[in-house]
Amino acid sequence: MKFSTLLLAAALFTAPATAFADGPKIGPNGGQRADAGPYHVEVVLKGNDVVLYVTDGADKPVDVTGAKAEATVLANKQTQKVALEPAGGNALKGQANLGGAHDSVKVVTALTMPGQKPVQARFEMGHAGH
Amino acid sequence: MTTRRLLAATVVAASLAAPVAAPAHEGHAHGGEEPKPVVTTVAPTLETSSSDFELVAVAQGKTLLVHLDRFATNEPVNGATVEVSADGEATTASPVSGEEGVYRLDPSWLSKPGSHEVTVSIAAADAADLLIGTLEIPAGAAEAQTGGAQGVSAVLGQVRNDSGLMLGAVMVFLLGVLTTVALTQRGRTRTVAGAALVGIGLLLASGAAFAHGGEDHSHGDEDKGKAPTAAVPMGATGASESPRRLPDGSLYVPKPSQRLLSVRTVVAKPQEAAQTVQLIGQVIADPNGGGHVQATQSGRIEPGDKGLPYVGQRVEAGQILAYIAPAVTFVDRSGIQQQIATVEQELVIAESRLQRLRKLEGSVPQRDIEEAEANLNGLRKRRAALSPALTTKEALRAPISGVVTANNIKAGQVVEGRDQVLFEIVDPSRLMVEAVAFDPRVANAIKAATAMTADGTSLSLELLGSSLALRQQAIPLLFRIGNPPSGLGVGQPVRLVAQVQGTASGIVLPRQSVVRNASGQPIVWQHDTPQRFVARPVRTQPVDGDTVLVLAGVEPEARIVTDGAGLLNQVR
Repeated sequence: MKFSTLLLAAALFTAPATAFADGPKIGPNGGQRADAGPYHVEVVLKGNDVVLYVTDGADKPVDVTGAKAEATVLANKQTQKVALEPAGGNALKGQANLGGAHDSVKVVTALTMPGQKPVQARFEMGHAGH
Repeated sequence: MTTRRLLAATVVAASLAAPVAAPAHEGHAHGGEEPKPVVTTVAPTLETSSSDFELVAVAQGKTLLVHLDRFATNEPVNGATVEVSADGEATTASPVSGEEGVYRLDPSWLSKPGSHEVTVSIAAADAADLLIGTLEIPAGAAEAQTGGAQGVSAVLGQVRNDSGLMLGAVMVFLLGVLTTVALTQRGRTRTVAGAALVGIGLLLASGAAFAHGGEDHSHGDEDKGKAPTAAVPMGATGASESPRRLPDGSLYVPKPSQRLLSVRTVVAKPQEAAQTVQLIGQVIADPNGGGHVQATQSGRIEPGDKGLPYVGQRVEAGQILAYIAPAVTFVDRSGIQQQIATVEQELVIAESRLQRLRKLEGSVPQRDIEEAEANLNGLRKRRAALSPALTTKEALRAPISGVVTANNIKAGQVVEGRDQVLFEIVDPSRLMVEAVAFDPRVANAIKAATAMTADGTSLSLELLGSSLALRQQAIPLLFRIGNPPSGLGVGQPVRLVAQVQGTASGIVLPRQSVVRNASGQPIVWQHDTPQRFVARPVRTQPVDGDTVLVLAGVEPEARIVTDGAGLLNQVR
């Protein structure tokens, strides 16, 4: 048996594993992470700050200069739309009125990378680790 | 030569059309060269769900219909505020009157073809949520709405948008050209080779097209909201919006059909339940709640004051049901009359004797007077006892309050004493169930039980005791029925589910959840995605009359259909 055959077999075996490996739900910045189109996005709520970190499928940070994002935040039964501005590196930042409650807050982000279509992601805070 | 050229041209045309016609991509049929446009197209659908809600949005022309249900129970959500945002436009949906949990809106972006990232904000009485999804508005559908003719350009545009279709089209076109060349050459063998090439080309085209359709959530170019749509490929490509069975055995049930069948679900939770055994029994009357009416002597039946009781009549304890006029033979009758005559004769003598003695009071001993009085009293009593023997009737009284279950007599009938049961009375509030157990260990372990009648009525039973003597190698067990429902009959067969010591763990579901598939295997229907139901073969054990314990076949947290499972099972 050729070495290349073995290599191919190994690749075939690992392929489904990598395909389903969505990674942990908690991102490197301690927030929840979700898939958004070709990207992984992570949302961190700090006080009234909403921070969105963007990484690629391999969890490498993506430069978000020129990107736009909008977060729809559902807190205390109130929906609010928050515009997120690039804040250096792979982060986009915005201000929301959360009233100090971070549990049972639901966030939907719409990320528009330069020259691309918007991609959405959904987060349920206070349900981390399930 | 001309016919061959014609044939070649046809082949080229066919190879052009093949990749377009073969793949039915995303549910809209391309009515390319046909004179009539295809009428029945499945509307673009968005399916999404969260832990609270399940949402199906269907684009019908310029209107978006939103079906909103509870995620866990599949109950329609009424009175919610539904706001749909897409392309920077937020629209609040208005509830559709007369329909439960259906909201409609007419957003302007709906007529724009392409994919739309949709955010739905829901505020119901008890929960609020944000849902996302992608709604694909096909170009063909948009053109059909605007009334424009669906031409080759639309089809070509579709092909251009899709790399898989493009590849197939190019391949088949090249093969077609090759075939044309082969056919225009002379020789039969080349014709055969050309035909084979066409066949291979068509195969490749269909392969490329379907390989594209089966694509699921692959990292990169697909979207999260699109994944549920791709999970029902047949549902999306089907022609009519009716519930149907998909090739993999699962069911595609559109939301309106789910509402019609009132499909409800329950989230599977692992539980501990008592071990059970099943027994066969029958309803019997309580010995203290059932009575027989018998005659103590032979005689003729005479109706009581209210007539003879009929079967089903309610009678009270002590109520007179009938009289018996004692049957006295002619010889007996003359004997009694003779005795009466004798006693009356002695009575006259005793009376006159006593009167005579009373006149001589003081001169005769007091003892004689008292003897005469005692003699007279004794004779009077004998007379009194004898005279009604020919006329007195015996009253037959109800021994208990209850319902007459048997009436074996008619007015005027002559009955024999003792051996004949005239009436049977049962107290319907005091019924019992007698069951037989063949395993003594089971009989000793039973603590409580429930019984099911053939028509599905559930009875709760309390064990009274078991017999120490076997009857036909089985142990009779006696249960009292708590609050017997009306309509229960003595002798009715029942199926008992008795709880024994020890527990089993599994998922408790209502009995109606478990149905049987075509091969008779017990299954439950799992609500997999908003409009898809999957059959799960299960192994079950009854818990009581109404619920079963699923020991295997259902994952925890799965949504299992409770109401409407039998109707879903009928979908072909």
